[in-house]
Amino acid sequence: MIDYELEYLNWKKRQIVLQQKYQDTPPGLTPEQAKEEEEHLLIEWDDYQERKRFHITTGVHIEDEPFVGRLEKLETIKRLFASGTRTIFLSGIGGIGKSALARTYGKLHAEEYDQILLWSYVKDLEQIFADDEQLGISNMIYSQNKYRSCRRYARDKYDKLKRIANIERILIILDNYNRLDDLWFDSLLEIQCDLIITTRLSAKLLSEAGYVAVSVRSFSCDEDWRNFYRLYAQKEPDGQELEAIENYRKSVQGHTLRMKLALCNTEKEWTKERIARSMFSNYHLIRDEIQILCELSYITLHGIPKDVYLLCTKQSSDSLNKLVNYSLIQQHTDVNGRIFVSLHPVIAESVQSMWRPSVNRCIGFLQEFAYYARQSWYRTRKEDLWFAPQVIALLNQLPKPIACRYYMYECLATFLLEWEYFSEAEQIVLPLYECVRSYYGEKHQFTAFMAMRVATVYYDQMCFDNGRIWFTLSYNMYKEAKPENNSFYAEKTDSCTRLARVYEYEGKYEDAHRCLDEAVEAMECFRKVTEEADPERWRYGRMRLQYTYTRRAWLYLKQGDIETAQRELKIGINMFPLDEFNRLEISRPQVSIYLAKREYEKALEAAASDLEVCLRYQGESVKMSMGCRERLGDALRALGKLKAAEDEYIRVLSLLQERYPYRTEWIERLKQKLGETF
Amino acid sequence: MEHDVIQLANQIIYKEPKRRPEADWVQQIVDRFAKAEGVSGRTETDQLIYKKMYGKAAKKTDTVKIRYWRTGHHLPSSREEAIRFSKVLQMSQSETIYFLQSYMEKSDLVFDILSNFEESSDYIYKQRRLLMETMISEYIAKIPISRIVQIGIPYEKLAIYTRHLYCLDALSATSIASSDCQKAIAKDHMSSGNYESEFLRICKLSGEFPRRTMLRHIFLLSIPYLNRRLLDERLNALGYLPLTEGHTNQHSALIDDLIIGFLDLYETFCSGKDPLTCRHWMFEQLSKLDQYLSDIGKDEYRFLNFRILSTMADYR
Repeated sequence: MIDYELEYLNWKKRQIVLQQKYQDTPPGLTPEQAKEEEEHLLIEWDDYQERKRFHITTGVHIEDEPFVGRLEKLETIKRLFASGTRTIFLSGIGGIGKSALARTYGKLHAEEYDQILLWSYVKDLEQIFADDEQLGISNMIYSQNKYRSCRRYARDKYDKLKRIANIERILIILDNYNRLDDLWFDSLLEIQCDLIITTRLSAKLLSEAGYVAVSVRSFSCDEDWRNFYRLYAQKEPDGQELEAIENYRKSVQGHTLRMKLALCNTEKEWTKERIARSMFSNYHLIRDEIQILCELSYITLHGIPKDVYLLCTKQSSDSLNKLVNYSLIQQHTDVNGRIFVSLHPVIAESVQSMWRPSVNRCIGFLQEFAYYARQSWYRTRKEDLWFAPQVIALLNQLPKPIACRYYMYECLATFLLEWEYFSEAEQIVLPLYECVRSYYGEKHQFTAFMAMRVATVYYDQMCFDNGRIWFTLSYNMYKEAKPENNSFYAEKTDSCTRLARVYEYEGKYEDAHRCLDEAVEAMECFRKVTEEADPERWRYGRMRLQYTYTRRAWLYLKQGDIETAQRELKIGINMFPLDEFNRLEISRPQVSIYLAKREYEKALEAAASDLEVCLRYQGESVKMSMGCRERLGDALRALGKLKAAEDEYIRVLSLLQERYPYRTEWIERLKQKLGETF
Repeated sequence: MEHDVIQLANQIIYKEPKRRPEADWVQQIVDRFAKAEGVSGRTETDQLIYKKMYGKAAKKTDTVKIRYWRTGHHLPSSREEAIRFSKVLQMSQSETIYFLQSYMEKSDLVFDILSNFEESSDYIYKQRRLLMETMISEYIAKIPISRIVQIGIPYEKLAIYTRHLYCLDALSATSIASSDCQKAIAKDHMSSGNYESEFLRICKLSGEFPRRTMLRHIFLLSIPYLNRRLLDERLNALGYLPLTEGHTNQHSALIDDLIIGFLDLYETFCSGKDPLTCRHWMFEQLSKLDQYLSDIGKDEYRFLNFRILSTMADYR
């Protein structure tokens, strides 16, 4: 495959040489001008190389954390790595301090490594490699169009990591890996890096399997314990208190985490009556605090941003902070300074066995979490990088979908759709549709909604025939169904609008107009039922009405009726106030309309503005930004700014080749535009 | 802008002479010969010229061609005949060169070498080949990214498609093929066996090429780094008459004036612009000019048109 961007840069380089050689010809350059061009080209070249370079973006700077003792173990790890051992297992029971030991080693030896990666093993290693939050590599982002499956993406990232590891010194800390049969384990061992794996597998088993294992047990020396008490109890205990602590220590066999939790407990009641086998018996946890623990037990070790958790839950930040102070909840800050909260696996297990948090018990939080997932369109990808693996992990934990909870599953599926995890989304929505259909029947709003969702899954992965079938099905279902809730008319609008779009692409303009008329009618009904009764819902939903005008504008544009297209678009834009990003969504046909009207300066201004907004919200490599950039190229070309137009087209072509190589129609269209103009 | 090239064309065509000034010059040379030989009368002069050229007396119609050569209606059919004619007329070396370059529109020298030019002992040939190689390699270096995208061949492999690219550019510079046709041809990588060898011969300077062919060749290879100075320099270096105001071709067409005027317009509209814009202007105006010339039946002025282009378009 030709790297057009590279070809273009080399071409520019050759032209500078020729322009200087033939400086008295019209495109000639004086030596000073040539120098300036070379400097510009150098910047472009650096930018290109940076975009082609792969380096780790999720390397961590390990935070300071309290740590006592284990000096001998630290030395052992150091000695083993120095002797050429590449993989070291830290073996011990849950909560004994393996992870803390690994992190402390990383902290102390950070200078020796170019990158330190902290991985939490949940399901399998493939998931870790695919997870951009745990293994982020620059210029790599999942695209179903390019990779077809997460596995291929994981494989590509693995290959890149392997190459990077040949150049950079990397330490990987893999936490909570309690098996030896992961399919990717041997591949992990092939990476040229230092690897510390914390595990509950026994050292004996590991040695028999040929691995180097360091056992991590309770502190053996009293001095370590005294330092430990001082650290967590804030002062040196003595007398009766010390005796009570020592007794407790014996009862929990020196289990580090239990000791820590006990020492952090501000109530400090060390009486025998209080001491129980259960980890939580030292605490007087109120219902809200237990609820928080139950909710967080659904979240993987990697955690959830604190602000997002508080948004999704009905709990107060005071209760959350209290649990953090108790060390029942872990808190860490990611590379962007965002605070995450999570449960230690031992605590999560204890919560599960103690209170058995069910979906019903946590339904409020889970529904809000799902709803938050659904709103991902309004957030940048960078903000949501942590989310994708959480959604997948959550879906693995949730039981089979039940009809009355369909919306929660649908929200999670929509999130996966936005992130192009099409096959994962398909695996959810198809059974969900069947489940809903069996329960509610075909002439039901919820069934119609799920049919539309199935259609979207197919359509977005370019299975247009299947998409059309399901959109038509959904549309017909909405016609027969009765409203079950206030969302009915908004959903019906979506169904009509989506089908209109299908008709538009098939050239069936009359059918498309008809569907849009019905969409407008449905929105009027939506307005009637929500504007006064549920103004918030109306405020969020009314953009659909504006969007019908956008679609109409596209239709009229395709039919050659430019004036009507402009009129319809203006109606849509001005109907209700829009924020910057949504305004972009609604006004998308504007550039094409200006070009059709030959108002090229206006087209250029609009296209440049659209691109700037899109880049800020979505980044460069998403289809919307590429579309904006292509339209900018069109405007530049129309104004005769051919070089600038070519720059934009080449950039889009290069991005398409990289991220969407199967969008052959789009690629051909761009090649044609390049060929036509020049 | 469109009106400028059309206006230029009209101005040039308007001042076209009825008779070639180069033919007048030949007549003067013939008159000088006649005086030196003590011959009076045109018929006798022609007969004498014929006899001296072919070593035998002319039969009745044999001297017609001599007369046509004098008047400019026809040219000697070959270089050998032209040189023999010049020798008979006792032209000096500079007059012979003028006769060949200006009247005959040929180069001063002809080569028949196809082998590796670096091994040739002919210094002039080597220098001219070097110039040709430079023009070709720079031509490839200038192929815009849009063309590379269009034909789907990376830069490092473009050299083998030079002829194809050259013909695509020629099509773009003329009005022979529509843009759809050009797009289709671009993808075909079609090669005509005949023109393949013709193009190769031009590049290797093997054989004789009319000035019109070489002018077209240099022009197309030089776009967009082109001006009068460069064109003259290259024509001169390859042994041809540089662009000359008032020079006419066999059909009295003032092609040189047209090209000079066109290059002036190019300078006016494109000075300081980037290579892509210059190239775009160049091809756009050339094709408009060619279309106009074709519409008014002035094919002799369509200096970038050549036979194979029509064949390519018709084939498509």
